[in-house]
Parts: sequence; C-alpha cells; structure tokens
Amino acid sequence: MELTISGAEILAILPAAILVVTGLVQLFADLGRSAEDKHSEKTHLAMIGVTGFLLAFAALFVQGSGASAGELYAGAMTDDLFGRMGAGVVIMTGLFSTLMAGSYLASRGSNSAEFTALISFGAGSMALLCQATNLISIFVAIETLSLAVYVMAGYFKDERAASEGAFKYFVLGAFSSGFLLLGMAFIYGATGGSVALTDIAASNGQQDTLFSVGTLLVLIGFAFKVGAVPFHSWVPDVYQGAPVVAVGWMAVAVKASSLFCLCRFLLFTGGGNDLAQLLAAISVVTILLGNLAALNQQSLKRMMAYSGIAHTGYLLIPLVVALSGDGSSSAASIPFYMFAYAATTLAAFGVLAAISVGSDRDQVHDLDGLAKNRPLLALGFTVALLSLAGIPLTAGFIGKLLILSNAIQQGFLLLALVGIIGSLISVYYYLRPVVSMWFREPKSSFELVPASWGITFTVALCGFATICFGLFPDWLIDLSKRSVEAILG
Amino acid sequence: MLQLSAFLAKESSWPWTIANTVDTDLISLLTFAAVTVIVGVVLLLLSELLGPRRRDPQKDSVYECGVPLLDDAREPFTVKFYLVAILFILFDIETVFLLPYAVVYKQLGIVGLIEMGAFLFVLTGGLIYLWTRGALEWD
Amino acid sequence: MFSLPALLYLSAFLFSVGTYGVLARRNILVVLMSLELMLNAVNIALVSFGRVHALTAFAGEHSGQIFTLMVLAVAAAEAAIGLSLLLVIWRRWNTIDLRQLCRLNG
Repeated sequence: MELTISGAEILAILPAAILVVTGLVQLFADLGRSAEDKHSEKTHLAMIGVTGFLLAFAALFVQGSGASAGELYAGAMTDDLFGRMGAGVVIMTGLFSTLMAGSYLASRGSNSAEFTALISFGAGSMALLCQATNLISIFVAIETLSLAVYVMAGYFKDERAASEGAFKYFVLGAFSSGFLLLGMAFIYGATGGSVALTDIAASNGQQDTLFSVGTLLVLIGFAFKVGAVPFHSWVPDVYQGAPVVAVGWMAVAVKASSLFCLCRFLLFTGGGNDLAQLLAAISVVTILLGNLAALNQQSLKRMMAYSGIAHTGYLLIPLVVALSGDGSSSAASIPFYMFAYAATTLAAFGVLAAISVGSDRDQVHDLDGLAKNRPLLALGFTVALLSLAGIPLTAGFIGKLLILSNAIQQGFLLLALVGIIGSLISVYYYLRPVVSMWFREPKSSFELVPASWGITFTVALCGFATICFGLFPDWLIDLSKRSVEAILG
Repeated sequence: MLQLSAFLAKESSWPWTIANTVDTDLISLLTFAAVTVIVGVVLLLLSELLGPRRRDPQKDSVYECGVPLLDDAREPFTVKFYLVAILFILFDIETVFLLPYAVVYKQLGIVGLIEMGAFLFVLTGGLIYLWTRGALEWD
Repeated sequence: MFSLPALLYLSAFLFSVGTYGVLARRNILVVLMSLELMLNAVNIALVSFGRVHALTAFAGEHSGQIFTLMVLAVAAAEAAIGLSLLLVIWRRWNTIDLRQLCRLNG
C-alpha cells in the first residue's frame, strides 16, 4: 500500500503548516539577541508573526477540490467552510495577540521570542482542531493547544499568582484530558472500532450505554476547555495570574476552537435528548453563575473571566437547540457569535494591556478618567463592553439576538428567558468601568505611557469590527449558515 | 447499565479472549515469579514474628560504626538533572513514531519518507533551539 | 487468558487510582504521576478494544493501537510541561506541596 497525499490534503493543512513554520522562524530569529535586550520591543518578531498569520489567513481562501468531510487523511481531517471559519477566528486572534505581545512583554522586561512562537504553535493546533474529524486528531490537537497555553499562563515565572494559576490550570487541564480520552476510548469500543466521526455517526453502537457514558466524558473534557460551570473554577485564577495578552488569546482562541470542535462532534454523534437536557442545565447554571459572580469583582481580569464563563453559557444554547431535533441549523449562530466575541474581547484586552505598564493593572479604579487621557482607548473599551453587554448597534447584540430568537423559535422559552435575565444582570458590571472611564476624575498614581502602535491598532480595528458586525451582520450570518449546512451535508 | 453488562458479557459469542496470543511457556515463568515472591514474603514475615526484639539506643542509631551522619540521604537532586530528564523524556518518546515507520517504510514509499522528514525536521528544530539556548550545557 | 472485561476492569481500576491521586495527594510529583497513570489506564482500554476489534469487525483496523502511540507522545509532552512548572515552583518557593502553594496566594 503506497502512501499518497493529494493536493486537497496539502491545502487542508496549509494554514496550520504555515503557522508552525512561523513559530519556528520566530524562535530562531531571536536566538542571538534574547540575552541582552529584554526591554526592547523586538518589532522583527511581530513582523514575522504578522506575515505568517496573514499568509495563513490567505491560505484559508485557497479553495480545495471541495472534498467532503472524512475524505482527507483517511478521515482524520476535513476542509469544509465550518473548519475554515474556526481557523479564521483563531488566525485573526493570533494576529492581534502577536501585535500586542511585543510592547506589553517589553514593558514587563520578559520579552523573548517564545511567547510569540507559542501563539503561532497554538494557533496552528487550533486551526487543526477546527478541521479535525476523528477522535485521534481531535485529541492530539486539543492537547497540543493546551500545552502551549499552559506555558503562556505561567509566563511570568517570578510572580506567585502566575505560577500558581498555571499549575492549577495544568493539573485540572490534564485531569480533564484524562476524562476526554477515557470517553473517546469508550466511544471507540462501543462503536466497534471506529474513530472517524462519520463512522461513529453511521455505526450501530449509539444505543449502547458505553457510548452514552463516553459522550458524557468527552463533554466533560470540552466543558473544562470552554469553562462551563462545574469545571469553571480554574478560569478566574488563571486569568488573574496570566499575562494580559495571554488571557486575551486564551479567552478567545481556546474557547473558539474548542466550541467549533464540540459543535462538530455533537452534530455528528447526536447524543439524544438526555444529553441535550444536560447541556441545557449546564448552560443555565453557567449563564447565571458567570453573571452573578462577575457583579462583585473589583479586578477587571476576574470580571472578564466570569463574563467569559457567562458567554460560554450563551454559546451552549444553540448547541442544546441543535441537539434536540430539527433545529440543527440553529448552530449557525455559533460561528457568528465567535467572530463577534473575538473582536469585542480583543478590543477589551487591548485596553487592559495598554494600561498594564510595568505591572498588570486591572482594578476598575485604574480606569478612572481614562477618557481624558486616552480617548481612543476609552472609546474602544466602551464599545467592547457595550457589545459584551449586548447593547444594540454592536456585534454582541446581533449574536445574542440570533441565539435567543432561535431558541424561542424552537420552543426553548426557559433557556431564552435565562439568557435575557443574564444579559440584564451583565449590564450593571459592564457599565461600571464605562462610568469610571468617562465620569470620574483621573486620580491614578501611575504615568500612562503612550500605548504602542500594535495595541492602538488592535483596539481601533477590533472596536471598528465590533461596530461593523453590528451594523452590517448579514454577510457574516449568511457565511455562518452556509458553514453549518456544509457539515450537515 | 443492563446494556453495559450485556456488552461486557458478549465475550462468549465473540472471539474476544486474547488467550491465543499468550504463549503457554509463560506459565512457567509466572510460576517462578510467584514462588520467588511468596518465599520472600514468607521469610520476612517469619523473621518479623519469631525474631527476638531488644531495643537500645545503640542499636537504633543509624550506624553502629563509622562516622556520624552529616545530612539526610534524601536530598533533592540538582536542578540540572531534572532539566536533562525532562528533555530526555521528550526526545526519547518521539522514537515511538519512528519504530512503526521503520517496520513499513518500504510500503509507505516516498510520501512516507517526506512526512517522516517533516516530523524529524520539527523535532530537530527543537533540539537545535535547545542547544543554542544552552539547555544542554552542564555548567 | 485475559478477556476484554478483565482488561477493562484493570483499566478502570488504574484510572480510579489516578483520579484519587490527583484529587487527594498534596505532593505535586505524586499528582503528576497520577495524571500519567490516568492516561496510561486509558491506553490499556484503547489497546484492548483495538485488539478485539482488529480480530473481529474491521480486519486490519488498528486505530486503537495508533491512538495509544499518539497518547504516549502527548503524555510525554504533558509530563515535560508539568515537570517544568514543578521546577519553576520549586526554584522560587522551595515547596512542592500543593496546599502550601495555594496558601501562598493569600
């Protein structure tokens, strides 16, 4: 049996391959100099990163021969629109994180190429995760991206909170990977030795209890990665200790790629009504707990952590709807919501990175009077927070509208109601920083150095994108619908 | 749970036992191992039960002769050992992919060679990076 | 000699031991070992399923074994990351006790 590789297969891994090579180039480009200049911004790394990410993004638009799911690499990968949209979110997030990383790390005096290289490597494995269609490739991709993120979470190794958060993240992450893997083994056993998602969907092992237990365990593994409620306890601790840029990267890219993969997995394996009810319960608790816990946070990073948990809850609603019968197309709101969430969150973390010079500043009162000193940053942060709260004219509003209206149409009134209540609660804590930025006198004791071009650019572009998705959402909604139809076939 | 137990009980109808792969010669080896363990345990137990036990400070001290102890024997190893050990784990386990490849490299042809080359390229990249960053320097 | 249920019970037992170790032990090294044990317990289940299915359903289907190889490599990388985090913590605070580490946070 001669091994062959087709053009479509090469095209499918092209974005990921470009990203991995970018990471290697970044590592080696920095070799000679990392010792002496820890405080310079190292623009060359950002340039290499930007080039790599743009190339990878361009590679997403190179159409393959239209191979359907399960055709590439003996069923290990696919190259459909859904996977490409996931990879698109990840690549854009990686691009902006790389732009912000240089000056932020330089201001903290720990600027080496490993950070940007880890972003590139992680982005590569996330792109693969979005395209993975069998258990083996899903597991390997999810582990690779987790390993990259563990290291980034503990990047400031002289800080207590960073090391502790990273270690907690690592232990809980590896623990949940164990459950994920056990679930995969059960599914593999119950379906008579099939690892590809299409084979699993076609096999007759679905009625087996072993299969249900396996699906449940896989769900636990994913719930940890996206920070859904019973497995959310690591999120605030890790967010607090990790570098701001890494938090932005984690919050968006890890969540996006895991959700894209979970969505694909659940759409293939089904899972039945019981699983849908379980997911609905998780979603309700996640929304309520995330929003209520965020109310009382003084630290902006912890607030963003709990708000991220709440948004995971909103994102589970379309999965519930899709799982319980004829509403499969409602999963179409997931890609749109992820794009909106990515733009919004990156803008917010850009501002946090801009005010974290020297050490991380993330208290709400650190923002006092920011509008007078840095109106652009304040404007960007305001747009981001309004979008997270779901105020009209922003991307977040359209995303929530899609999710909730779909849920109501399919008869999930209770879920929709919880979602609406959660959004109402969230308005309070999202508006608190806005008030302190615009209506308080600047009293902060630190000198606000001018934000670097990378951060300013990121905040401006992501804020602009948030408004754009809010005003002209049609093309993106259309794209999301087509991508989900591509999976369903 | 009924289905699960039914699933586990299917062995009679399926050729699920793996017995045919285990050589019967291994039985003698297992017997030998069992006897060794049993004899050892029995001897230890006997000396524990039957032996006289008279304690005095001289006997409880660590050595009855020689120099007094300076330190605990269970010191943490130097960090350098850990670094080398971590790197060893990584590069050691990657051969796990080389072994199956070595079995079928002729059948896989040129594409297999290229794919393995890509794998080794990344791996070697890591090694070179470590080397140049000085992770392999002992001092 | 070994039937599939027996192997699955062994795997479940080892997995439970690993789970207990992660949850109950306070020494970071023991926690790391327990994590490895969990992954390797699943490996046993995977290999035995793979063996069984190779004998029956799909002749020549070895995805269980391939899965195990991948898991081995992933586990090694995970161990490396875990040990490096352990080293960082040990160098900085001279402790590998989880509870002491959490108390540091204050």
